Amino acid sequence: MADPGMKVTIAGVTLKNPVMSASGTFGNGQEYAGFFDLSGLGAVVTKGVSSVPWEGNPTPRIAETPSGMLNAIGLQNPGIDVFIERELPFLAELRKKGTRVIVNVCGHSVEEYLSVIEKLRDQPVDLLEINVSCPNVKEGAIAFGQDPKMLESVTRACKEKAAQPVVMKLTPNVTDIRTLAQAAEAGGADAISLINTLTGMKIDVERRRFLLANRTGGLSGPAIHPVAVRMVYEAAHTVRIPVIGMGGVASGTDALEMMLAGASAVAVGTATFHEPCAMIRIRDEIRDYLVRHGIADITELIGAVA
Amino acid sequence: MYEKREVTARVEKQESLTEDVRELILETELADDAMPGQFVNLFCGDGARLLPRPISVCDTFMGRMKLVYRVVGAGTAELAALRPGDTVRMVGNLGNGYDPRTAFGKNVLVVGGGLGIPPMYYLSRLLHALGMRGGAEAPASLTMVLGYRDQASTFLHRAFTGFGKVVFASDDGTIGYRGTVLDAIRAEEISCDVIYACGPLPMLRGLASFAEEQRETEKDIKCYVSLEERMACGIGTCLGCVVKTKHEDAHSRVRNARICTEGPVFDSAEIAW
Repeated sequence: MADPGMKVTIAGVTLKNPVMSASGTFGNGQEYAGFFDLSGLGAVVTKGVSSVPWEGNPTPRIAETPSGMLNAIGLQNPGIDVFIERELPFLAELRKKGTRVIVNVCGHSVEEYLSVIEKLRDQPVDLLEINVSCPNVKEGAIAFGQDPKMLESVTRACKEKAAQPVVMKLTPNVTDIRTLAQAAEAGGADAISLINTLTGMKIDVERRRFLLANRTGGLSGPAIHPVAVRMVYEAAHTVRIPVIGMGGVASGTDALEMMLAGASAVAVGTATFHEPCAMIRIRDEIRDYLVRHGIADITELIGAVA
Repeated sequence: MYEKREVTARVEKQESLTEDVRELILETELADDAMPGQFVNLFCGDGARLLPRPISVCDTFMGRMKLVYRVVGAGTAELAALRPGDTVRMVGNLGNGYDPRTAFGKNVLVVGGGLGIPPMYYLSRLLHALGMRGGAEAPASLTMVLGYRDQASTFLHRAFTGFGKVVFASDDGTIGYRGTVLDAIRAEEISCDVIYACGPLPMLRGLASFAEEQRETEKDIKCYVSLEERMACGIGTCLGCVVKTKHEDAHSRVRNARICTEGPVFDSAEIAW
């Protein structure tokens, strides 16, 4: 049998395969270039970029949990100007090899999101992922993602300003993910991605202290995968726009589960911390599965379990 | 500059140095280019423990790397169970390490406290070798001050003999001076141009102010400290392990330098203590 088709399309942008990095776990790619050939990825999703440099939270920012981890980085980043000047040229080169570039945009206010989006208008970027779901930043971010009306209006504002298709990244810290998925769609989103981290807390019993300086942090890793699959399923069966699935994907099987639940592509995050080349292994495991099951094209699997 | 890389190392041997401190000898190509002050990230076999355990390099010799670590939790307990012939997945060599050029022609003081001692062994050995070679690169002198909790918790304490003058300090006085490494430094009236230190934060902070005092009174002494913080990736992407600095950091330009990448070794005058 011929090589199975691995291409998927999100909002008119075709990816050579459905595997991409999850924002915040891959820097802007350069640090991993020594570990594997980044052009093997469908897309690179950048660390969140804000309009001005963000300091992030105090340390400790990281805590390990069973089959997962908590983080409360607080979106430390150098801001859009440094990003364009220093980080984007590397990604632009990668883009020439067919790996798509998705910039994750964060902000404390609608104006801040729009200022980043505006500056990316003429840049070599394929998609914008709008972070309305970070649990570790006090103003903006998650507040925009938990209220359907707010989410719809932020989405609409971003869409009006954006030159590239807009993906709204949703938080699982809501009562009903379907309502939020619908709100993003109503605001004109070209796609949605989910799930961001689940808000958690860990206490050092011996010292009787919070492990994270921020007290709460976002839980990621295999521990959250079943929650993510359920939410991807619910969202994908509620809206017509494509869904990018993420949350604890650490194997080809995990990725395929996401796709069967309705995801058109899959992002891999925390697994990279455990295994720098995890994404390439996951891509290969997906391909092996297709061969083993005689499936000619991966798109046949999207939402196939209904 | 060598690339950071993921390797599978083979365990040559492992022994107990104290009740909870272990010495692990690994056969790995990372030994070929590891510098003192750098660290490696060891992965647990149990996939439920996702994050690597960062451990500083204690020594390298003939394709072997020596790691000395304390068993503090389930992850390090798993490492402690490794036997000869077992393999362990790791990423290295990480961080900047100490820059030997800052020791050329200088009176050097190396300070290690507790689990901060292992990387100082590697550094002291290389500085001593530099001294034996002579010439402009040789340090003018090498003094080492090692701090322990008590006599029972000592490890590697004999290994430094032969590199230069070794001074001990312990909390209860059962080995060397009773008190902190700084108490020992003052008691011995140790004079130096450059300090290299690794150990608990209060110790490093104390040495940083000691260097600062010296700078105010008489001479321009430098103090380089190795810091630690909880981290995830170890290669500069997650921004988990930052430390507040006095000047803009290289990555985010917000005075939050990455310990895994810009560090772990910093000029103490750069840290916003």
